[in-house]
Amino acid sequence: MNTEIDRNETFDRDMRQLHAAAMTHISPQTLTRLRATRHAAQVAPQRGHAWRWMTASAFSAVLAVAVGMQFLPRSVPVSTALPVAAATGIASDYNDGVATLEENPDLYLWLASSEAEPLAME
Amino acid sequence: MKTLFSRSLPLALLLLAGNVLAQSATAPSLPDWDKLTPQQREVLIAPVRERWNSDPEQRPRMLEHAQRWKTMTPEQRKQARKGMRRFEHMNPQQREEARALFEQMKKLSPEQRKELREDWRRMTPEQRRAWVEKHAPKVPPIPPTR
Repeated sequence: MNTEIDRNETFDRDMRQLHAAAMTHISPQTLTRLRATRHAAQVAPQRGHAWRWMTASAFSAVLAVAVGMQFLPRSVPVSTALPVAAATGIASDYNDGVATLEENPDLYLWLASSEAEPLAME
Repeated sequence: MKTLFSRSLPLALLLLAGNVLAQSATAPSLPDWDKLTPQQREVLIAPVRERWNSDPEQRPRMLEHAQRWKTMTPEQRKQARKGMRRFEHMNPQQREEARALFEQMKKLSPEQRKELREDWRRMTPEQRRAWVEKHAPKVPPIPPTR
């Protein structure tokens, strides 16, 4: 057992020595290029992840607000929350209501009937 | 493909959220009549009151029409509104034709109505104009207010 451990330690030491010796033979230009590549590899993904996390968080927040608004009570007090303008919009539709009084409703009913539909008046 | 998806997903989510927000902002639920404010009721009633006051001679007809609407079934009202939309898209001459045809059809038997429909299809514009003049309703139509 001890022989096995000793053999492993010897192997590790030899490898470290080989690595140290190899490092002394690398040119400064190559070392500079390797450092730049390593630095870029470490920094770039972090920026990308940060952007993705921020985007995901922002959209989650927007969605949460949007969904939450669906559950807000809609029947708020009419006197303050619903302006007269809202009713004005309906009033413009209600001008149709005035139009309903202008003509005989049975005329309208007839115009939508199967008898009048084929009669091309317009 | 993966990049396209990852770029499209936020846009889709934004559009979805925007749509939901827009619906929330533009679709206020209005209460029943009893819970409207006096100002809102005033806005709603004003066109009818104005029309009522503007032409005293037409008041009986307007009231009669309102009563007829009231006696209609929901399905009849739905159909009548459909016919009203058709009427709104007609020009004055076409409206006159519609009134004349309607009034005439009321007086005829089913066979005669069928015959009139076929005649109408065959008529030239000039013949139709002559027919309308001959069969125009006695009561002059109410001038449109809109």
